[in-house]
Amino acid sequence: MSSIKLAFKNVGKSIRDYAIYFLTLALGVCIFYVFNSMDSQALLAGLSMAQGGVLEMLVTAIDATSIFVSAILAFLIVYANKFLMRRRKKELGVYLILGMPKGKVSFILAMETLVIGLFALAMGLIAGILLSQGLSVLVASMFQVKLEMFRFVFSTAALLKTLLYFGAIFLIVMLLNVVHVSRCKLVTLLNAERTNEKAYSGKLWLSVIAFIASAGCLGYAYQQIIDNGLVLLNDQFNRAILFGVIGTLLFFFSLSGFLLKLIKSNKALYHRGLNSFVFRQLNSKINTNFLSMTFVCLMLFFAIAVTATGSGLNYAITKTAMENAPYDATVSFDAVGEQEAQAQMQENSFEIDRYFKESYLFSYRETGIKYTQYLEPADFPSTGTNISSRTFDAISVSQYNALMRLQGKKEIALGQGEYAVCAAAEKTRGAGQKLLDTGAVMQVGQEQLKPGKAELQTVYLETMTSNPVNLILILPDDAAAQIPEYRTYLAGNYQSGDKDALDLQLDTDYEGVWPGMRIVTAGRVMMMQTGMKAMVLFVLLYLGIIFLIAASAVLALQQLSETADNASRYALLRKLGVDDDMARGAMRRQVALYFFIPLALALVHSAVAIYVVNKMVMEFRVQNSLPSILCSAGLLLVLYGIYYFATYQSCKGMIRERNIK
Amino acid sequence: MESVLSVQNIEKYYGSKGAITRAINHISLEVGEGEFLGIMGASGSGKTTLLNCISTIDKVTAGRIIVGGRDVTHLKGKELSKFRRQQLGFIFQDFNLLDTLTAYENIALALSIQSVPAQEIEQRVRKVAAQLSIGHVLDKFPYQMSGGEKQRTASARAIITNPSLILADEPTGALDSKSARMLLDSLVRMNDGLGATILMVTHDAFTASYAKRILFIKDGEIFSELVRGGDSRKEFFERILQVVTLLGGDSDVLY
Repeated sequence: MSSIKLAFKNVGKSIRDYAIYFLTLALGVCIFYVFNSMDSQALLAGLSMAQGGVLEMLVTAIDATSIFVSAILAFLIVYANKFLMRRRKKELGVYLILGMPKGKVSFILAMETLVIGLFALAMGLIAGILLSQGLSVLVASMFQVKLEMFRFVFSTAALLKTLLYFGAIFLIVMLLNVVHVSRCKLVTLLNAERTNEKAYSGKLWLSVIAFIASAGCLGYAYQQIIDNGLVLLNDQFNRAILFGVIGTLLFFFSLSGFLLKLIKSNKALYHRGLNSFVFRQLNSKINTNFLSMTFVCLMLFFAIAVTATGSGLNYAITKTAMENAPYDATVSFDAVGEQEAQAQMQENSFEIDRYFKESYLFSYRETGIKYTQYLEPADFPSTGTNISSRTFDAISVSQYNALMRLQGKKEIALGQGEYAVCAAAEKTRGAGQKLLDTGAVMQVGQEQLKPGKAELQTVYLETMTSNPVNLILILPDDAAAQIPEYRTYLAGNYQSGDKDALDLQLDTDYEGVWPGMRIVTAGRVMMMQTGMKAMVLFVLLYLGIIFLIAASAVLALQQLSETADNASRYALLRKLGVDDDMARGAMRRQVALYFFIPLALALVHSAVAIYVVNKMVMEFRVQNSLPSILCSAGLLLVLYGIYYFATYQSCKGMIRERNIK
Repeated sequence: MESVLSVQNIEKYYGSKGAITRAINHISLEVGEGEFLGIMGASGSGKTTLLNCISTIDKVTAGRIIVGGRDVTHLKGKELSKFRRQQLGFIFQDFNLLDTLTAYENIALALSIQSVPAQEIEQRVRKVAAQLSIGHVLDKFPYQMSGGEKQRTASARAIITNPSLILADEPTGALDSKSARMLLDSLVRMNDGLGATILMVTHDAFTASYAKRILFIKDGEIFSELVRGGDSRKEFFERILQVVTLLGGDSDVLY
C-alpha cells in the first residue's frame, strides 16, 4: 500500500476523531473569509466617495484584527493536532517497529494533514462564500446602498488571503508533526496506552475557604464594573477584571471539593445508576483541569460580552448620530467675531445663500470661570477627562434662542441676573444639573448671576462628530457683552433639493481648500457614525465568534481525550451489565456537565456585563437594546451547542458495545 | 442438584471460509448450583473464549448456553445487559476496579445499576465487606490498596448482586502467593458459606486445586475431568499436576 493511500485510509478510519479538528478548521476558514470579504466589488460600486473612505477604514480594522485572529486559530489548530497525535502514538509506534523510516511516517502524517486541510479549506470557503452573500446585504443596508438586484459577491482578495494564512498554519502543523516524529522514542510510543492512576483528594475546608473567597472576589468585581460602566478603561475597570479572573479561578478550584461532597450527601441521588461514576469522573477532571475550565469560562464570557456590547453600542451610535447633527452643516472659522467671520467668508468667496436656505452666525464667549470652582471630577462620571484647567463657555440668550429657532426647538426665557446651563453630551448632564441645584452664583464681568428657572438644556449647538465634555452657560445679553468672544460658527440648513449632492459638494469642493474655515456636514456625521457602527459591530462580532470557537474547541478536544481515556472504564461497565442507554446517558451527562459548568458561570458574568451595557445604552435614551443583545448572545450559544453535539457524537462512538472486548 | 449453567455442544469459529480457526470445538458441560468448577488449559486452548461465550461478551457459532433455565445465545441489546447485571458476577485477572471510585463505591455500583435503593445498598455493602475482610479499605481508592485487597473488592462486587454464576478469569494472575491464597480462601468462603456458584478459569495448578471439580481443555475440546471428592487439597493438587503433565504430552507448551 502506498503512503498516500495509507494516509487517505487513516483519515477515513479516524473520521470521528477528526470531526472536531475538521469543524474548527472549516469554521475558522469560513469566518475568516466572510469578514475579509468586506471590500467586495459589488458593494464598492454603489458607494459614494465618503462612504468608500469609511468602508476602507472598516477593511483596515478587519485587516488588523485578522492578524490577531489568525494567531488564535493557529494556536487552536496546533492544539487540536497535538490531541490527534496523542491518540495515535501507538499507531506511529507500530509503523516504526515494522521498520518504516521516520521520514516516511512524517510523510504520511503530512499527507493526512494536507487531506484534512484541503477538505476543510474547501468546505470552509464554500460556507464562507455563501454566508458572505448575506453579509453583503447587511452591509449594503447599513450604508444605505440599494442593491438593485441580487449580485453574487465574491472577493478574490479575501480568497487569496485565506489561502495564504491557512496555508501558513498548515505548514506549521506539518513541520511540528515532522519534528514530533523525529524526536519520539519507540518505547514511549508503544507504552502510550498505559495510564497512570492519580490521587484525587481535596480538603473540604480549603474548598470552603476558596469558595467564600471566590464569591467575595466576584461580588466585588461585579460591583466595580456596575459602578464603572464599560466606558472607561481606568483602574476601577482593571480591578474589576482582575478580581473577576481570580474569582473565576477560585470558583472552579473550590467546585472540585464542593460539588462531589454536596452530591454525595444525597445518598439516594449519588447511588442511582451510574451517578457515582459520573460525578467521580467529573470531579477528578475539575480537579486536574480547573485551569482550563477557567480559561474556557472566561473565553465564553468574553465572546458573549463582546458581541453583546457590539450590538448594544450599535443602537447607541445611531441615536447619537441624530443628536449630533442638529443642522445640515456647521462652518467653523479661525477668525473670531461676526465681522471677522464675514470677512473670512468673503475672502474665500463663500456665498451663504448658494448653499443655505436659513443660517445663523454665532459666537461662544470665554467666562474664565474654572469648573473646579463649583464642580468635582466625580461630577463627570465615566468621562475620564481632567477638568482642572477647564473653564465655562458661554453664549448669549438671544443667540441661543436664534439657534433654537433654526433647530425648530423651544426657546427659553431668562430674567435679569439669571443664567441657564446647556449640557449636550449625556455624560455632562449630571454636572450641569448640579450647577442648577446648588444655585451656583457666577461672577460674569460686573454681574452676579444665579441660575434661572429654565431647565437644564440638552441640545447640541453645532453639527459635530464627537461628544465633547463641555458645559455652556446661557447668559443675559448684557452680561455676555462684557466678556470676550473666542470662537465663531455658522450654522445652516440647506436649500431644498438634493441634500446628498450639497453634502458632497461641500465635502469635495471646499474641504481642506480653505485653511481658515472648516465645514462639518450632517451627511458626514451620519457617515462617520455608520462607519463607526459597522466597524465596532463587525470587529466585535468577528472577535466574539473566534473566541467562542476557541473556547468550544478546547473544551471539545479535552472531552474527546477524556472519553478516549475512559473507553476502558466504559468497557468494564458494559461487562458489569450496563446497557447502551445507561452508558450513553452517563457519557452524555459527563460531557454536558463539562460543557455546562463553565457556561453557567460565564452566563452569570455575561448577565452582569449585559446589564452594564444595557444601562449604558439606555443613557443614550434609545429604545431598549436588550433584544438585539440577547439575539447575538443566542447566536453564540447555538455555535456552542453545535460543538457540544459534535463532541457527543464523537464520544458516543468510543464507548460502543462492540469495543468492549 | 439443579443445573445453573448448561453448555450444550457449542462451537466457536473465527475467520471465514478457507481460513477457519476452531477456538471451541463441541464443548458441553454442566455446572450445578453451589458448585466451584475450575477450567484449566494452556494459553490458546480456548478457555478464555469459552468464558467470553458464557459471559455473553462473545457469541457462539453453534450450540446453546443455558443459564438459570434461559438460553443466552440469542439475547440482544438491553436484554443482554440486563442478563449480565442480574445473573452474572465477574472477577478479572487485572481487578478492573474503577480507579476514580472508592472500594465502597466500586462495590455499590453493581447494585446501583440495578436500581437498588441507597439504604439497602449501604447495608449489603457493609455485610459483604465484613465477610470478605475488606471493611477497613472501603473508603480507599484502588491505588491505595494492595493487590489482594483490590481483588477481594472485585470479588465483593461480583457476589453482592447474588448472581446465579460468578465467572473468575485468572483471579490470582496478578497476585503474589500470599494474596493469592487469601483470595482463594475468600472464594471458597463465598462458595461454601454464601452458596455462590463459581466458574474459575486458570492455568495455575495451585489455584485450580481450590476448586471442587476441574475440566481440562486442550485445543478447543474437553480433554479430561477431575473431581476432588474426599481428597485433601494436597492430594488433589498432585492429581492435577499429573493431568497437566499428560496434557502437555504432545505439546511443546507446558504450564
